[in-house]
Formats: sequence, C-alpha cells, structure tokens
Amino acid sequence: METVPILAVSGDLAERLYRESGAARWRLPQIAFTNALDASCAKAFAGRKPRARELSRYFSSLHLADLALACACAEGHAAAWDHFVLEMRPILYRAADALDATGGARELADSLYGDLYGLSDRSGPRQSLLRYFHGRSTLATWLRAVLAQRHVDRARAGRRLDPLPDEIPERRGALQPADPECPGLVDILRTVLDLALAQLDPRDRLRMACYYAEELTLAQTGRLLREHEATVSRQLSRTRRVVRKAVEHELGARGLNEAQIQRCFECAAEDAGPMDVGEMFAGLPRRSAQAKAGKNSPQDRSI
Amino acid sequence: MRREPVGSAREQDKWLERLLRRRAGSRAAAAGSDACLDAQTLAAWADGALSRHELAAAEVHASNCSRCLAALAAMERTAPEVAVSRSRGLSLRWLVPLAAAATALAIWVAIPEQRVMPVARESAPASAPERPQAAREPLPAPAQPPSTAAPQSQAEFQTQSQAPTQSKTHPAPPGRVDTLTAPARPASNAAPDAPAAAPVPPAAADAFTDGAAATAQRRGLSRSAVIEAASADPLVRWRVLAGAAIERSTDAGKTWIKTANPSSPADRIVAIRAEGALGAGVTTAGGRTFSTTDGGATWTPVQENPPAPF
Repeated sequence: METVPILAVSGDLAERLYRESGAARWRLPQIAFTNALDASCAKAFAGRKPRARELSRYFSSLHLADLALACACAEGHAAAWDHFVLEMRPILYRAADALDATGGARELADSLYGDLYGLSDRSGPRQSLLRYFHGRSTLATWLRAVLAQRHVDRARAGRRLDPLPDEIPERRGALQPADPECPGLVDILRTVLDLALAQLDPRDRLRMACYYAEELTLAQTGRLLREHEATVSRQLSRTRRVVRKAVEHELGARGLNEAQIQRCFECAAEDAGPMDVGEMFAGLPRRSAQAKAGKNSPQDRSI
Repeated sequence: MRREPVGSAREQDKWLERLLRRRAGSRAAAAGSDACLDAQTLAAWADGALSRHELAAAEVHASNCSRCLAALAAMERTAPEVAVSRSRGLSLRWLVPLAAAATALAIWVAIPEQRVMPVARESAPASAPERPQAAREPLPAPAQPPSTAAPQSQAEFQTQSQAPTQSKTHPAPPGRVDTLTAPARPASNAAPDAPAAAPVPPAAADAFTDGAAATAQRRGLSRSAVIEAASADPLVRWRVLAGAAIERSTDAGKTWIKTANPSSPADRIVAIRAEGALGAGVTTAGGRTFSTTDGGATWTPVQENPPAPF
C-alpha cells in the first residue's frame, strides 16, 4: 500500500534535511530521500496540506538519520544494509527475548530480515518493509513495533487452534458449579460488567486493560499513558469504584436485591461457570501459555 | 469450596478486581477493528512523538482493539531498560555511593577497635587475652631515627624466626610482649601511671608494660624504643633501649645496670630474652643472636639453629 505523496518538499528545505540526515554517507540520491520525506508528510497529515510552521515543526521532530538509513536500505545500498544489520540485530534480539524467553520470537526477528531487505519479482520493483518507516520514531522503536505486531499476530493465529474449554475433560469437571443458582447469576454479572466497561472513558478502559488484561505493571502502564505510576494506581482505584457502582446499579435495575448482588460476586469469585478460563485467556497468549503450563493458581482455574 | 463474605464495598471491590482481570481480557479479545494502528504509529506512541489529537485517537482505538492493545503491551515489555525509568536510574546512581558512605561511616563510628586493632590482631596469638583499654590506644610511633624498619618488641623477637617480614612491617603493641613474657607480674611493680588496681595477671602485664612506657617517656624515647623482658624471677628484668643499650634490673625495675652491648651500631638489637639475673639473650636486626651467662659482662654469639632458646 504505497503512500502517494501529496506535497513536495521544497528544494532548499530538502537539501538542508538531506544534509542534516547524513544520507550522503550511504550515497543515497537526494531525490530518494525527498520522496521519503514526502511520503512521511503525506502519512502524517493524512492528505491535508499543512501550514508552513506545522510542517517545519514536523520536520524538526523527524529522526532524519534513521530515515536516511532506512531509505538507503530500502534502495538496496549494501553499506547501509550492513550498518543496519550490525546496529539493529542486537536490538531486535533483545526485544525478541523479552517477548519470548524460549527463543520463539527470535525466529520472528530473523524472518523479519527478508521483508526488511525486500524481495523483488522478476518484473516488479524491489519492495522493502522499510518503506513504511517514516522517521516519526527511532528506527529501533519502529522495529520493535513491527516485531511486536508480528508476535501478537502469530499468537492470535495460534490461539485459534487451541481447543475450546469444553473440550478439555479435566477443566470441564472443574467447572461444575457448587450452587445451581450461580451460573445464572454469573451470566448476569458478566453482561453487566461488559456494559460497565463499555461505558468507561476510553483512557480509563485502556488503563484497566493494560493493567488487568495485559498485566503490565503500574510503571509500564504509566509510561504507555504518560502518567506517573502513582497516578495510574489512583486512577485504577477510581475506575474500579466506578465500575463496581455501575455494576451494582445495573444489577439493581435488573431486579436483584442486595443479597442477590452479593451472591453474584460470591458466585463469580467461587466458581464463575461460564466465565471459563478459555474465555478469560482468549485475548492473552501469555496467560494462555501459563495456563497450559499449570502456573496459574487453582483458584484462578476454578473461576 | 471456601466462601468469603463479600458484603462490604471493599470486599466487592476486591472481587471485582479479580473479575476484571478476566473480563477486560476477554472483552478486548472479542473486539476487533479494520483500522489497526500501524507500526509507525505504535512506535511514535512509544517514543512520545504523537500529537495530542493523534494520541487521543490512538487511545480510543487501542482501548477497543485487542490486537493493538497486545502490541502496545508487547512493545512496552521490550522497552530497553535505559529508557524504562530514567528518574529511578538517576536516584540509584546517587543512592548507591551515599549508602556505601553511610555504611562505612557507621562502621567506623560503631567499631572503634577496628581503627587500631588490625596490627595487633594480625600478629597476636589466639590465646592472647583481651585488653580493651590498651587496644584503644593508638599505635606507638616508630623509633627515631631509622627504627621503622626494625621491629622492637619482644613479641617480634618471639615470632621473628617464624615470620620476620610480617613482624618488621607491623610492629606489635607492647602489651602483647608482656603478656607473652611476663604473665604474672605483681601489680606493685607498676609504674606510677599504671592502673592502681590490677590484681589479675593481664593487669599486671599492663603495669609491667607501662613501666617500659614510663622509662621511654623519661628518657625521651618513643614507646617502641624500649623493649623489656621478664625472667622467671619476678625481680629480674632485662631491657633494651633504642636498640643499642642493654640494661638489667634485679629489683623489679627500681634500679638498672647497664651491660655490654654485643651488637654494632649498624645492627640494632630488636629482641631480648631474660633467663635470669645472669642469663639473657638478644637478637639483632641482622639476625644474629648473642647470649650471656654473666649478667651481660660478656656476650657469646649463638650458632645457627639453636636448640629452641626462646
């Protein structure tokens, strides 16, 4: 999906940016670099023509040296490619090891090189993945993003092949409810909880998802949302109170009295029934792996 | 299955938190979107390069898209450690040396013995009794002028044949000498500046040592320049002054008689052994040993490997 440049960087500006980027080191033609700048602008401003000041600020925020390197690699310059491999391989491997300590993600990292270098058909031009790097971040961060996306995609694809919870005999036995009333109550609670989560502010929902679903730490969640971890903790508590009140209110609106509401929570805590582990871990490959390894607590498995 | 009361809001909050760990994930998994964040947007988000408008749009999308949420989380997990917590790194950079300095200061203040004891502990025998008061005294200054290279205690004389280099570089405190050579000196022999009440043998040794100290003080010598040795007879003592003069006393140190000196000025006496009123032995810095059997009138060189004279 080639981004069509909608504006051309002026000659003087292009020359200055070319000089600042050090693209001459890779013997990258200026026209190729200018085209990369145009593509970056077109992507960033989504088709609209930016004001000069806005454009200037945008260019000053770009990682020009990385953009030049990516551009040179995409153009097939051997020295640039050698430099790229030398500099980026350790970064990719570190990221891969952080994603999967067993080495599975390293395969992904290695397989990236083919796409990054670009393969050409007999008739078509050489297409490199690096064309999609626009200099808005460092090249290292962009590579981590590509790797993270591929890792997630592979995990999601693999999860489709996992057996459903009902197909696992021992799990089916473990999910027998102690109280016949519980499954119905838990169903109601699950529906209400989904509604409450959906009504949250997107930022609150994202914060909760990062912390509860992705199990990021407070510090990691804070970095993602540009918040201090104390703020994250405080906001999580607040949001949790909001969700609880919304759940209680909605349960009450559905005709449940206080005792039944308490029973809902009890049932969910004891034996969630339909809230089976397969569904719980559905979006989380890491959790799924832990569940297979039996690392999660017995209580977690029973809920 | 165990049941827990969930009546209070706090308890319900706890249960809700547990549920959220599941529902948030399953809900995100159920969601999906065609316009997922591309790698450049994810990377710009991680690098803080998105504009406010772009960030808000990305947050709205990520809060409803399990794929992008998982990718963001994966990116966060792969963030290099340097960028993870800059402020924490900065504080640790100061915290470590500050903690080390505080610990060193605390040890220095809390254990004063450590400041003066290493030399004594290094060469003292395991059976040497504790002398807390003497141990807190600073080590004596080396004798003037060239005595720094020559150990001048009888303890070194005792141990010289075993570890000469060690004893030369670390002069032992005089108290240890007396402990080895005069284990049971009466307190009455103490010099005026010695502790008055010293009924036990270590205290007597202190008094004996302080007698040498008083002598050194009277003669203007450094404390280590006087080496005293006691014999089995409590009244008989021998001593070496400044490595050059040998004296003996038969009245517990009240009066001293100068004897002949077998060594040369260049070969200082570094140790003396008292055998009795007439018998004694000395060792020089050069390793030569002399003995006398006539109260120091004549000294006879002792052949090498003597039959354990000391």
